[in-house]
Amino acid sequence: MRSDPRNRLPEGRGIPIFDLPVAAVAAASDPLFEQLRKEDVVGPIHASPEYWLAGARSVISYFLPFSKEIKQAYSINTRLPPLEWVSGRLNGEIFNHVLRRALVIMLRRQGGRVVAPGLDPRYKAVNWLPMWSERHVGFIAGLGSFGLHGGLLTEKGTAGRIGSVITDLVFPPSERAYTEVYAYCPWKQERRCGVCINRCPVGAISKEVKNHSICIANGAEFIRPAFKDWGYHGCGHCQCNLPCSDHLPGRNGPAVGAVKGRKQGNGA
Amino acid sequence: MEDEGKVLDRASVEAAIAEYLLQVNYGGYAPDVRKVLAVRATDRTAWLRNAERRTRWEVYYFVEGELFPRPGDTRLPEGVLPSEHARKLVDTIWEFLSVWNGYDFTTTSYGLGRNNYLRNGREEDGGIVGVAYAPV
Repeated sequence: MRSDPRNRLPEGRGIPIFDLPVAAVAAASDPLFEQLRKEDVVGPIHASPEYWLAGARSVISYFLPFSKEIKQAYSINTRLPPLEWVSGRLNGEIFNHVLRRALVIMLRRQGGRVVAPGLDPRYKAVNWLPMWSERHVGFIAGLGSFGLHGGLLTEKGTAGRIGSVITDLVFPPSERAYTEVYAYCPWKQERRCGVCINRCPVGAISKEVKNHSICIANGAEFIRPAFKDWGYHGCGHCQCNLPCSDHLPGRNGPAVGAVKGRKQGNGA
Repeated sequence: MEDEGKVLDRASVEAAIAEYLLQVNYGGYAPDVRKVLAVRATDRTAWLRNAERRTRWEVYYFVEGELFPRPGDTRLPEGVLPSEHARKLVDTIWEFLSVWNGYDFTTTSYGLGRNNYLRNGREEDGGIVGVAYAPV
């Protein structure tokens, strides 16, 4: 990963996109996969591991944390994300495909059959609801719980990309060290933190939930036009400059609320 | 750089792989792990180059280990033309390479269907057939 030139931005001095990932394994038979089909979770569109691969036994999920260079480029005082972020999102997802393919090749060499839903021609999303939600799969595998902002809170933070593959090889499932959907989010648990609520420049995150429509509209109306010549889009205010950006909130780093006192401007 | 329904140009992929076969089979078989198949977004044509810093709107696939994971796949059999062997090799990877490339140039999370890539899948029982990679 460190030497692959695809894990670097094409622009500027070519800073690295991702640090080393963290991974976890879910049993393909985990009953939580069926729960994802509920209307109030992902929805009926979500497909089971068995749908993707007949005889599926294991689901390997990983989280690729954005590099410190990418995250440091994200000023706390701007309304727009930096070029490093929007480039890292798109070019990082291409590298995420590289990692999916590497896992496919590795598991095939071990004698397994493998499917990467994120690279499968059957995959689609309808009205932003995916047939395979990498975040929810990561939750089932034990990578982490959700935060108020909707991102996954992992031991390597929330700023990153997620991927997975399904195989008929058997690997022991990872421990899922939580039972609640928002187990690691201090706001959801104890009304502590809540930094992401004020961090969002368009108010998409309320005290209760993230409003994805506002988030999407911001992307369409402001961010895409701002980066039209670059061809990029995507926002990361709710993933950067937060107590959960680099690690689980309140663990292995600044205490929850440590960023809260910083002033946020609205300059573009 | 939206997809606009473009698909990977197979002729250029075969030509690039034939070039690779020529290079690594001259004077004895010496596979080159630096070589990548590069594809540009504008017209989805491919060519061969060394792995190095990426260029905007290009994607890369390592010939050895990634496109052809089995050692010796790119060894040119005695009496076989590079173009002929390249065609056979591309036959073995085309189904998934065309899908990989479609996803690499898809800038949204809606999947390939939004950008007409479904034509890369075979219609069967009313649905698109997936790509389950078998053991090597």
